[in-house]
Amino acid sequence: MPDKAAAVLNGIKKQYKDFTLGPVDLTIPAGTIVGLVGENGAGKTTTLKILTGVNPPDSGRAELLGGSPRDAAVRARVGVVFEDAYFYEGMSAARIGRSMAGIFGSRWDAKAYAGYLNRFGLDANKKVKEYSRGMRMKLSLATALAHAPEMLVLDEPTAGLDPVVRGEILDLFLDFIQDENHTILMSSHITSDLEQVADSIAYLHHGTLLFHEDKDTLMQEYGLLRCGEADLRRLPEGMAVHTRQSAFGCETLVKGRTEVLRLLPGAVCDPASIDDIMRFYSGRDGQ
Amino acid sequence: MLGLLYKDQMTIWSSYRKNFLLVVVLYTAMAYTLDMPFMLFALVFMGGLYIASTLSFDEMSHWDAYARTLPVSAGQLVGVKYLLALGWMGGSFVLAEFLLTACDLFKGQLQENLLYNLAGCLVALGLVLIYYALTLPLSYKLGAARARSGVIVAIGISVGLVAFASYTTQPGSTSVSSAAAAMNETSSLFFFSGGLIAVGLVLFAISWMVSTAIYKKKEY
Repeated sequence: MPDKAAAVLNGIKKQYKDFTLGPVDLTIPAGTIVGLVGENGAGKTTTLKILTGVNPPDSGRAELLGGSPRDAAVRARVGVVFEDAYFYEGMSAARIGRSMAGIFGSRWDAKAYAGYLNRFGLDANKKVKEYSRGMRMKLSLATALAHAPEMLVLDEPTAGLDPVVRGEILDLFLDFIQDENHTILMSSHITSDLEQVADSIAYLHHGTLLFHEDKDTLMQEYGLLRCGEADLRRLPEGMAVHTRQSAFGCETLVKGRTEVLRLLPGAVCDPASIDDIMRFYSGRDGQ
Repeated sequence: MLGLLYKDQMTIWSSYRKNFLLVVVLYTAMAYTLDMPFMLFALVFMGGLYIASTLSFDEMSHWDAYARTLPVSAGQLVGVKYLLALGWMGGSFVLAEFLLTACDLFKGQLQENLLYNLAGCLVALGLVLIYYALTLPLSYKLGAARARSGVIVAIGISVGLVAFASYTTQPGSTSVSSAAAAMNETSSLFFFSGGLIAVGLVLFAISWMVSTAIYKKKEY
């Protein structure tokens, strides 16, 4: 991972009546795509809101592009897409563009905005409420990109979209990241999207950051082991994260897949997907 | 700041322009045919109402969570509502005054009603300023719908207290009523409406500061 950090969360804590986030320590390396995963209510949106200056943390420090998210000049260099927070749906894309031009001033590139609308096939004069969900997401992305941000912070940008639209949006992210100074932090439940584009994965579980690891390392590190209980007992302490029993035997999420295969040469241990990792961690804590 | 003003103005225009035109036509017709000029005073109230509605639209679209990621301050986000409210109330005041004058011109009653209408519009403007000075901070604190109910209850209590006070106080016993008695009716009306607008503007400025403080603390 590159050394330079685009964003840093340092000991971030946030307490709500029925939920506590943190303390979270997370560094988003510049020039990468970081996927933030976790179950519903794990704290992903809370984390993104703190990072983008929507809400302050109770304790800890959030740093965005070398400054504070509370600083408007810093926020001008970031493009944000939230799943359900945007302009009123009675506005048209053209009016949203004019409003954003007034908000961002000289940073706003009206030609780039028109270009994105054109690329996404969006009619600028249609009201947002006349758009489909996919079109709304594309419009949100167009507004997030038209002021040439250095970083994109995206909350569930591909949720509820069909595979074709998701593919287009993921391509857009890969285009954006071609510039080495550009960074994306995106939360998503669709882990297959993150497997396609993310450089690293951060996993939030019940408000706690369980890990933030390079995606390829993660996929190599974790494995799904299928074996009998006797074999399982031969593994060193801490290597098995969680085991699920079924009629066909037991399935275990293991950490250190290569070592497991060395210790149990006859066992089947496939690489685990991000979904598998989440399911097994969730199952472990549910017990 | 201009972008925020544009956003709210366009939200109002795209949502309420038909409603606004209907209200203008209906109220003018009532003022003209039923001799109810106070219906046009209500136009000033409508001007403020549209701004209060933008807070509901913001709530519906979760605008504030998004707005806080933009390069604008809390003071600006709240300030545009107040600026636009002043603009709409001022514009509605001018329009109401114009329509009242036009009605009287057609009826041939311009001379006798001119000052009364002007004073009536000024009183309406003052009262509306005070009403929204109370409503807007409550809207930021409690949400637009609950704030409206809260202010209506508060107004009801205030009117009740004033009525009770006037019932228990001997007429002409205060220095204010003595001073009012010394002036003629028109002068009193302008003195009262001018004072009301001055109080309204001061409260409006304080209201903006209170709303900004509430908004800064609020989480989305």
